Amino acid sequence: MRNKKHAFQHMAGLFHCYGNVFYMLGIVMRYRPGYFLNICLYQIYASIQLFFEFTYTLKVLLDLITKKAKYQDAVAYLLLMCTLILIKLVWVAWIEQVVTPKNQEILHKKLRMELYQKAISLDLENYDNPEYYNEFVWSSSEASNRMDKILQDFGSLLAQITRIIINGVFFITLDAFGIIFVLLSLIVTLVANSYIGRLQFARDTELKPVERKRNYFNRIFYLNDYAKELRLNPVADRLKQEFSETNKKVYPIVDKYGKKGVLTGFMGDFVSNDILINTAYLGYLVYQTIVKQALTFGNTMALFNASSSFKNALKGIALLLPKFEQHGLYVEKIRTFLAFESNMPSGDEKIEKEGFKELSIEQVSFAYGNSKDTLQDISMSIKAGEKIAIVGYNGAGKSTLIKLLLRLYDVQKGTIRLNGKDIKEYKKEEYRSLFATVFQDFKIFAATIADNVKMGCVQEKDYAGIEQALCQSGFKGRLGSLKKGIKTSLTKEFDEEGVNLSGGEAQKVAIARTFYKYCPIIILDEPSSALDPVSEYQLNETMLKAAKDKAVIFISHRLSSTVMADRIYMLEQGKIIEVGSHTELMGKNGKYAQMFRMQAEKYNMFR
Amino acid sequence: MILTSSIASVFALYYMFRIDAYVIIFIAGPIIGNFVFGKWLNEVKFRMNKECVPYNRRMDYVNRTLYLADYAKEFRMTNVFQILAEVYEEGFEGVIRKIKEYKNKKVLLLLIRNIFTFVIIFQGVLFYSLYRVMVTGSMSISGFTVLFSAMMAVAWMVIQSSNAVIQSYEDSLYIANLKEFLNYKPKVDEKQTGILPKECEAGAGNKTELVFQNVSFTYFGQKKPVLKHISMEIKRKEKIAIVGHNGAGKTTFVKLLMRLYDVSEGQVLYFGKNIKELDLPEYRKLYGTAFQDYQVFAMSVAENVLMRKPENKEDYKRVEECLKQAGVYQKVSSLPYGMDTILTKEFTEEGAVLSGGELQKVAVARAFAKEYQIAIFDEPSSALDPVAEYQLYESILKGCENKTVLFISHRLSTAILADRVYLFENGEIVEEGNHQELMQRNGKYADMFRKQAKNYVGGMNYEK
Repeated sequence: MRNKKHAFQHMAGLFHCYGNVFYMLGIVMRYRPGYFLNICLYQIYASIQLFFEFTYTLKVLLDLITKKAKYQDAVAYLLLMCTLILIKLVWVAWIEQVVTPKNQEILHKKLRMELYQKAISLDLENYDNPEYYNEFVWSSSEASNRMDKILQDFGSLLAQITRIIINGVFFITLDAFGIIFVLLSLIVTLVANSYIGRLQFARDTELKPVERKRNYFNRIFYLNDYAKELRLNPVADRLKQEFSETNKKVYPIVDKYGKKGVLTGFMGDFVSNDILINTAYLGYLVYQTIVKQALTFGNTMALFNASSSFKNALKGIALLLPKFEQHGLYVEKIRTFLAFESNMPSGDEKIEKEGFKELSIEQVSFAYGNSKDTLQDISMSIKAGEKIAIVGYNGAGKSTLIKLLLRLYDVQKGTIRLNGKDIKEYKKEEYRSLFATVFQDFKIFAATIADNVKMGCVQEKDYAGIEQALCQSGFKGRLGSLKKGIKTSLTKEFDEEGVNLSGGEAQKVAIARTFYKYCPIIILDEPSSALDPVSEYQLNETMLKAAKDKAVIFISHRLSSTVMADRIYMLEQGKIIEVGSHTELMGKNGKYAQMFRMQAEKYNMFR
Repeated sequence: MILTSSIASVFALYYMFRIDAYVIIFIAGPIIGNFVFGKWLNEVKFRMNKECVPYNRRMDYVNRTLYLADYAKEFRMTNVFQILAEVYEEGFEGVIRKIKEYKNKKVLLLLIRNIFTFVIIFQGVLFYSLYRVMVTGSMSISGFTVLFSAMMAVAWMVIQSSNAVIQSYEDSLYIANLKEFLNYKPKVDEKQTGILPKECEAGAGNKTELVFQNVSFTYFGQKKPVLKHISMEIKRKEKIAIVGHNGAGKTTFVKLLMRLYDVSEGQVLYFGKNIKELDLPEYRKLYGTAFQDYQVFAMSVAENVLMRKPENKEDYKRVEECLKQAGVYQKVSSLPYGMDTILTKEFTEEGAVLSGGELQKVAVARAFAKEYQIAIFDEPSSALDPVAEYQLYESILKGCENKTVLFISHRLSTAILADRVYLFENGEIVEEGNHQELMQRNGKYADMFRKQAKNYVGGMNYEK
């Protein structure tokens, strides 16, 4: 009873798998139906043509010879064959060198764009979970390769099916009984191959975590980021050691599965081919020809060839089936990825025309994953035009607070309100467009300076605004030294003449983003950490002027920047411990005062 | 594959030869097909692939950024995806153009190759042997049958080995790239042997530990030099601060000191000997470094500090001391496996994810862990809160009392602690001296210092 249920589940699972394969083929048909048809027709034509070229031709020629026909008749037939062959060769050359490369690129682009849109809409918390990340996100990045393979395997499947049909028809018209030999041989092959297929899958599953490690080590040695550390420390030896230890784990796994596979493979082959086909069936054919005179010589030879062809086609299909199962499993992950629904759904509220009035954080708590609370019971408010500073010890939760404000994560307890309404009620994109942010770990993209400031497609009319923003962030001097100005490419990813900016220069470009964007709230997370003192001073001055009407939230360890804030919040271990203006907090003589004095004393003593 | 097919083909061809010697002439077909047209086709393919590389790079870059966690925030907060979509489109259109450019050539070559490789031998042999059987009667029907079957066998083998030959041509062209990479002679040979630093020191007499003599340097591919005529002397146990605006060449200076690059002009001397003559691995061991853009590896905390596997109790003790000095020991002991906890979640859900400041302290601990003579700190406190920063500099000064120390820092409060300060501007040293001297000079350094101090001093005078 249990076996029946198991088998049923297995069947249902299989159906689902093949369903996934058709899902992928459906995508191909949706975007490039002509290409799909082209490939299918070619495979069918090629199989039919091959049958005629190898099997049927032999029969025709031998019959002609036996009947003592004229040479010209044979030549006529052969010329017809040559024409069919030439058609195939031209067709395949055109498909291989033109049609496939072009359509593959188009399909890749279409599929990837669909996946990219999804990737952007994923909740940020999905990136924290490495299992989810590896399973879904990573396999989606390989999706286009998977699609190519599925298409290729489907083409092979069509070819084999055509082969079976045409050889089968040939059998039935000449000698139906012989099929039994072929089918017997096939069953043996199938059983052996199914076992081997399961072994391979189990082996690959065991190898996965090891593969992950190998890929990591591979990456480290080739990426620019790690180059300095590898040369200045003996870590390279340590990494090489780890790499070979990881590799050693691979060998026994492959061995274990390999040994089991070899014997099965041999037995399957030997029984199905050497015994059944080459001996038993051949004997039967000879008997039919010589003793019973039921077949002509030509027919016999053709049947013998056809039997191999027929059987190989069946075997080909048997080998393809586990591949489709694997494809189905991967596509399942991609489908799940595409079907993903955010845990942070957008609301419908539009932001009022008056825009931003007040942002209030009410008793908010939050923890990452299963760890303890990063933020506990935080309450804060920011009105239009106010300058707020958030300071505290490392790991106090400052950056997390920012992410909650931007609704990159949802609070677990408490509420954040914009103009009195819960931010969950607003459309995510509209809400986020109120903010211009410079993150502590901001990224520069491989595009022009102008692109990196606007963070969107740049047109001529934007240039003036972009240049002004760069001046305000202190980048003017450096900009002047660049031949192409704001059209200079950043990073050398694509452009040999691209420029790699220093840490501080890059930070100025990132800060320019907030000056350029027209919005009521600016968030700066350690904006001057890489800036020299003069640049920092200039930035502070400009920020006060340029952001006069805007609300600004500063996180900084440079307490000289926070002195001017309207209100300072000090965090420790996820809680607010002190609130007030600089003067008030110094008066309280608490932890803020202590921190400020530590940083300031030397400046005071040695001026 | 090529080997087995070739051997099998030889046997099949032998039997064909036994039946009719002239059949062998048709072998010329596949040979010309593969070795002439096949080779030509591959060279064209390789050229096309090479020209497609910049376009593929664009598409791969977009693919990469979309899936990495690092970029995730920017995509959600801005419209930067538009830019990346354009980058992808550029790559895409480039590849399509290449396909169109090469299509006629490729199709023609492939067609000719296939005609030679397949049609000439099979159909040729058929026409010929049919003539022998039907017209001249010099071949029997059984001979013909064996010929046909042998040819079929050869056909499959030729197809397979042709594919293998094509593949190996493709592979060999890429292997040429690999060979070039492996044979690359680096400008700075990481394994260079030479004079040991110890020997330099022994025979040094009065010479200074480190001397830069009129050093200039330009990055490869750039026209303007990043450093111009730098001359400096650093004595053993001195504490040096290097300050200056962004892009002034401070980090480059340090890279030249450690010989990650070779100077374009001038020389760097260690106790009088040009560092190019020194044993490079030994020379590098002199330095303990903490960079601005440090990297943390997916290994345990202890391994990240020692940069190798800890082998005994002394190793762990050492790691503990270094972590304490860096001010991060408490945090590390609170982790589930203490110093053996793996950092980052690259391989395991249980990996620890430390904050930016905590990671920076681990990187600093790394500098302490080496048996160094010269410590280099490049913005070691940029991510640290004021208290941690203060404590870090205290412990650096204590721990490095007998060592030479170079600071690069925008925190001019550290310049106060230095024996000497060098102000870099546009690749040149414009002011040098200790803090007092430079303040009295009232030059650029003084201006910089006062700007940074302004709010601190004002902040301290809050009561007024």
